[in-house]
Amino acid sequence: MEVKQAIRTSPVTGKFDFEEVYRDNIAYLWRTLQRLGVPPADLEDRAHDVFSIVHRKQDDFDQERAIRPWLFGIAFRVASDARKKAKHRETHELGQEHPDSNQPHDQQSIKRKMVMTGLAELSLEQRAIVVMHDLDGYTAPEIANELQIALNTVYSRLRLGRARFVMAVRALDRGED
Amino acid sequence: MNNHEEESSELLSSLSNLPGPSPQVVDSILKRSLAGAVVGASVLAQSEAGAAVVSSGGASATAGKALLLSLKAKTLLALGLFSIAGTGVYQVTRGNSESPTLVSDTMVIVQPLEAPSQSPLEEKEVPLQIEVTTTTPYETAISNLEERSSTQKIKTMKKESPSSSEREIIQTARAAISASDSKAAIRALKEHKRFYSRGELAEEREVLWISLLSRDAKLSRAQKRATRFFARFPGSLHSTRIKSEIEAAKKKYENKKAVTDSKLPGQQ
Repeated sequence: MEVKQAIRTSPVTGKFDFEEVYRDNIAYLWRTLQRLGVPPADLEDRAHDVFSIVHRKQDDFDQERAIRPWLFGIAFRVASDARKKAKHRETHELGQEHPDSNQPHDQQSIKRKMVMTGLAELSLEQRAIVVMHDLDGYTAPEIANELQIALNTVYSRLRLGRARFVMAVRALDRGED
Repeated sequence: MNNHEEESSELLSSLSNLPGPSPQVVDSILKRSLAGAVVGASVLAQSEAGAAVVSSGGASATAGKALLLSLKAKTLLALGLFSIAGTGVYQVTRGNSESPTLVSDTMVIVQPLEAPSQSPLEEKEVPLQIEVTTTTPYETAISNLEERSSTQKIKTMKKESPSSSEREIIQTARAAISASDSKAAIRALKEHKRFYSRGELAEEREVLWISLLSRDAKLSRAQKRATRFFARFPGSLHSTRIKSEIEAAKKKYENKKAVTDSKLPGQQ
């Protein structure tokens, strides 16, 4: 599971240190965008979009809060917006590897690909909640707060998303399409 | 459920060591973010999306208010129309109540039950009467008049609302500037100012104003707006862009002035 806490302020100035926040969280954000299904070719642009927003809104950030759920929330909206704009979703199915990518075909990468394909079966909302809860370890109230949805909706989407994801992976494992 | 939870966590753990960005990419994104190279419609969309997250209620409250107002208006209109149009009145009365009164030709009126004056046993014996009445031509004419006035109200309300969403207005302004259509750009920017004075894209609006004035070589107005912009949005990502726009405007203005000065002696 991901470590939730991250440096939020500069130890020198006590203010939001953008560069420090960036350096500490870019790898986390990069992985988050991948988990949300952003295609590899778009990762750099989407990461830039996220940090542009972070830079613009840094003064609004409540420094008492953990930064990673906040970043996740922004990443979720950026990914959501990108997904809406994607015209050829079938060919650029979010979360799938590019056909020409030179991924090693070891056991780990096969499993990872299967998991990503299983996640692609979920709606982005379900996917974000499943990833936040089951991988990043956020609590349901934290997720509700960051995604600005009702707590019961979190539980509902988590339950349904998780079941659908597991079923999809099981089906892939059995060799079904 | 628990099985799914465990299985899901176990499966997702394979994503815990996904590859991160290369050092070159890390530096590149940081440079782009700091340089304020934020131009284009996609950024507008992202800024809206980000604002909704960041202000933890602020941005969504704006959108929410608009939605709420729209819903309220729709509900009121629906109620109004419901009370006007239709074909008959059903009045349900109980006991020896007064004769039914016709309010409109569509409304279904269920009179509230009054507190029984008799004992519960006596009340059981009172039969339920359902009377169906129809409208007279006079009442139809009245209702038509009411309907017309409500339609006028709808038109009035539409006139007072913006032509499109905040983002769309800004995009219109941006497109107009790109097409060198200053009038359309000014119209869009003024509309945005009128309906979304403190909207989430107010910063973008000011950037576009400065850009427009700079392109039209209206230097002093562009500079004034830029000064206000820097005071209002310190540390904005657009700062670099605005500075370069102002510099370009200065050059344009000087060139224009030089051309005018060189023409003056010849004209005299």
